[in-house]
Amino acid sequence: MARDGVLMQSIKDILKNFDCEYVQDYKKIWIKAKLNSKDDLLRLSKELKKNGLRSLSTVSPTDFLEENIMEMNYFFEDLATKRNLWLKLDLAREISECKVESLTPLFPSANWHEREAYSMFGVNFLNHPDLRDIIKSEDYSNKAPFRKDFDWDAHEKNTLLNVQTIVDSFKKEQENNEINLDSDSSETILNWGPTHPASGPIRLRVHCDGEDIISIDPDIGYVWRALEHLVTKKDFVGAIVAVERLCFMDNINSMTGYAMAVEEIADVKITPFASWMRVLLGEVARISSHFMGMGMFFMNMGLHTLAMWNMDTREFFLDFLESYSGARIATASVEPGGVRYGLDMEMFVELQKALDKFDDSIDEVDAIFVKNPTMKLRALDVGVLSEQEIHEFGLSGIVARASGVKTDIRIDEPYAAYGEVDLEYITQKGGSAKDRFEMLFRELKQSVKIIKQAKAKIQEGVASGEMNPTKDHMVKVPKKLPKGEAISRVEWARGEVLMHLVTEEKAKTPYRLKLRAPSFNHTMMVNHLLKGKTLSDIPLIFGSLYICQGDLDR
Amino acid sequence: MIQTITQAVIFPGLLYVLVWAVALFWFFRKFMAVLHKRVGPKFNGIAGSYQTLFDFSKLLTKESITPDGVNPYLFSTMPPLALIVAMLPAAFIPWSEGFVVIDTEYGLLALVVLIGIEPFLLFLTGFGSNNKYSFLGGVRILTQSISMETSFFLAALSPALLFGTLNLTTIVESSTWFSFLILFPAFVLYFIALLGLLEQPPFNIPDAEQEIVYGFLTEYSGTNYFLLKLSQFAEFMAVFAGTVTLYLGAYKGLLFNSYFCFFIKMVLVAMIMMTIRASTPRVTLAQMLKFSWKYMVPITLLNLAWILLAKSMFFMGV
Amino acid sequence: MLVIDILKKTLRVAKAFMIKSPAVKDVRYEAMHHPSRYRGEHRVDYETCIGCDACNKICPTHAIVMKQLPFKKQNIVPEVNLSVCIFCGLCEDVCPTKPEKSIILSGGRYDMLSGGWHEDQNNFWVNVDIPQSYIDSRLEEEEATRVKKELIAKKKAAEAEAKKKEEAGENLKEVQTGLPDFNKGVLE
Repeated sequence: MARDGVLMQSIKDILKNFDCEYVQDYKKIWIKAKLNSKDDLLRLSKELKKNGLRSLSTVSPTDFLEENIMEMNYFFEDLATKRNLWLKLDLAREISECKVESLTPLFPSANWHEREAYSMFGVNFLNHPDLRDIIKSEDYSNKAPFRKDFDWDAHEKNTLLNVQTIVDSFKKEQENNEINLDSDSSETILNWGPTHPASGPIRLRVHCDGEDIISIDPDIGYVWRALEHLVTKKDFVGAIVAVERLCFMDNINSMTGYAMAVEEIADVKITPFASWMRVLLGEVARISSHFMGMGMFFMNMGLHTLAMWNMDTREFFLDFLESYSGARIATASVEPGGVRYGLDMEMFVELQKALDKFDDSIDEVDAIFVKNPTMKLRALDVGVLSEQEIHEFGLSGIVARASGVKTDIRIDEPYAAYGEVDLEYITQKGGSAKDRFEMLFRELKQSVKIIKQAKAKIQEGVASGEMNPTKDHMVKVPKKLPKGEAISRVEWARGEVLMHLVTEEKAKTPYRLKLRAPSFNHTMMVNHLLKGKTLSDIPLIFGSLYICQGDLDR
Repeated sequence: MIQTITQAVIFPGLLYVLVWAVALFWFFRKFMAVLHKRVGPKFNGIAGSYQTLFDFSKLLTKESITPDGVNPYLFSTMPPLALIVAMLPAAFIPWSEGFVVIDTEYGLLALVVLIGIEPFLLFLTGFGSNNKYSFLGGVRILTQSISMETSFFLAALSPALLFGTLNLTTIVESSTWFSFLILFPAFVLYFIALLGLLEQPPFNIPDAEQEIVYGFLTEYSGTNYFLLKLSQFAEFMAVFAGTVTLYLGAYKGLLFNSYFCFFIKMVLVAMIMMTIRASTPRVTLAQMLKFSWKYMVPITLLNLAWILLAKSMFFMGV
Repeated sequence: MLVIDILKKTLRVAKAFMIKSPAVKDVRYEAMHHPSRYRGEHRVDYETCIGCDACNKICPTHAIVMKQLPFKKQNIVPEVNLSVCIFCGLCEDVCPTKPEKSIILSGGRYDMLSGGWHEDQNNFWVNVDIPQSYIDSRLEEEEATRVKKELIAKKKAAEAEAKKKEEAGENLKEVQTGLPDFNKGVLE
């Protein structure tokens, strides 16, 4: 569109004023550029923010050992006009020289992403307000585990010493808690900890005065599996079992993102049948994840009935996934090149049973739980996020749409067969916890509509002979890929997942895969939302942000 | 002498409370399961009736851990004390025609006072454990019971005002269908206050698993935990029995009067409580306080005025 | 009013009494849903396995260990450690054997149970039990092929020697006539 062309051109105009190695168009709504000097970064970011690119999606370093370079990648996004910029920058690799200006004062969403780059790769960010370790445990302090020359075996040998380091640092922290507090006030630091019934595996250090909260500091990393490093040890097909465990309830969309990146590097196009199957499976997985999310929201308030009723309907959808792929939850059914298994048209009978059961029971859920008066009493004016905050903190998915921001990657940057699906933005005004819950419910209904469309399309295709369900599901992808890199974005159940894949020449395994998780940005908001509230609001607000610790820690 | 011991140990004493707790727990689980579209306990015994027995006996065989730094008097002596105090109201209730263990003129007062002392003992258990969560739970239960006690007490006084006596047997004998209609608003208020006193949804704030781990029960395990849970069920029994005695006419049935009707009525009250439990989420402490002091107490006072009016109109001279 | 609203919701929830619970089967003895693609316990066919090691190489968690057999060719079969396996099914996908694969998960058992003790956990494997008769028959076959090869090799060697002897014999005659006459130069 002409308007987009003009707006995209304005980014290029800004870049002309700086010393760039190259500026190229990448896909339809991205511009890829490389800055020559790292001192220009702060000035360039200021200009970009003024132009409208207010969100910084993530910050990701790539370690090139032979060329002695640490390459930084910055992903700027404008959610309102759908323009994106991928900025690269080279840094020296030695730990003492590896530093760059921090973007946190301008873009608050860069706070934790820069902390992660510091912890995993040893990149130092100057003027960062709070540069501490994140995700990795205390026995890795002063070490950068994701660098290519890190010796994992040597580190793993002293297991006892590592465990002792972790325990000692925890005990010291507990002592510090009591020293720093007043002895005749009621202030204390509560460990809303990993063995709490409603927290999941995350520790929130709640600094509270009686029951009023003063501040919260999340401590994440209890489910750290180093997925980004694990993927570099497997070949391109075997890596799907690592990528799907981002959060295994919605595993299909994350595998789709990874497969798209591999297919782009290998220059392979998949068949229409595989595209429609990816849409169908992705929506079934999204429904399965949303059912659990709705149940968790009410369980955090003490009512278990909704979770039980949702499990009843969810089992029918999982039956379909089991007939298709052989497993109910971690299905491993999307591979680079298409989908892994062929389709037997009998399986659609089970899908139809699930859809019928959904249509039967959804009205009761609507009347009893979505319009529940006590829930309104509790959730109507807590946890309110404004539109400005969505842009600044890089939030996405349900949380963004509940505050009125129209962003949905299935419409903005269509992948698989979403370009041909009849889809529109669903938003709510208000941004409170209750609005986020209602968004989940409305997305459920939207997903069911999409499934019905995809099912009809596949049945049509098979009947007319265009699609062959047993042969068309997979295209051959070469075992060794050329040198290259690609990014892909998908609309995952919880938000936007951006994957950045880098391969070397004649590569059998990925060289670097960056997984950008939406829950990471959402958890940054917990302190901001809960200042001044009481302890009873923690599970409510924390649960309404739809966080999963699997993709928080990776 | 023998009679006192029989009454203290068998009926309506320790054994009765045990059997009642086992049966009520099973009933709760099965009833909730049907509301949740599940099945509940199924394999042990007919429809899972031995399951609770096995669960309780398993608790008795587990180790009772006393953490470091707790106050030894409060931590270990409170659970048996709480159990005894919770079982005491059973002595004042007319279980069937002509059978009441202690027949006094002040039965109603004793009932209300004994039921009201229980939360204070539970607060002491939370205070004695060396744990921030237990302390928070203890403070919550004290706040909640003080607020709900007021309307509970005022609503419980309504039959006494209407019939002009504090004697429970007399109240039961003079209650009829007509008096039930007059007392209906008081019954509703009494029921809501009951939910607050027993920490059931929507007022299950001190026992909020999702917020403060397990409230004042956090540090207890094994036999201590069993005793506290039993005291909670004994409180259920006392409060349900109180409801049935004051408003629903105790052992009076349609065709015949016996203990059996008493039991049926208690089960009815439990069913209503369970259904409310399955459909309402929890409210916060601040909202509960506002609800209690702004709405419940004034309405209960108004209800007292209505009772006095009705008494002067219909029960002239009693 | 709030209380009336709550009462209405309660009554709607109570309607759940009319619905029969869907949990009807005792899943200790029969599965509620057991499709043909279900990824269950592995079944290894040692007779068709060609020992190509592809399943071992692709396993993401290194759950497959190859068992050595005393043959010369096709002498490894896979054994699976069930405590480590994640049942992804990639080993079944890459097995090149036709028409039936040698390692199959689809349609396998779902009730894989190990005991509760530490020793039972360490023994949680899918073992391939090869009967001695099969080993003997394969060894005999190999022996037979080896003997046959030897015989053929011997025959060839014998023929080659015979040919060599012929040629050597001709040379020998030539050599003998070229010998000097020692009796010639002696005293006359």
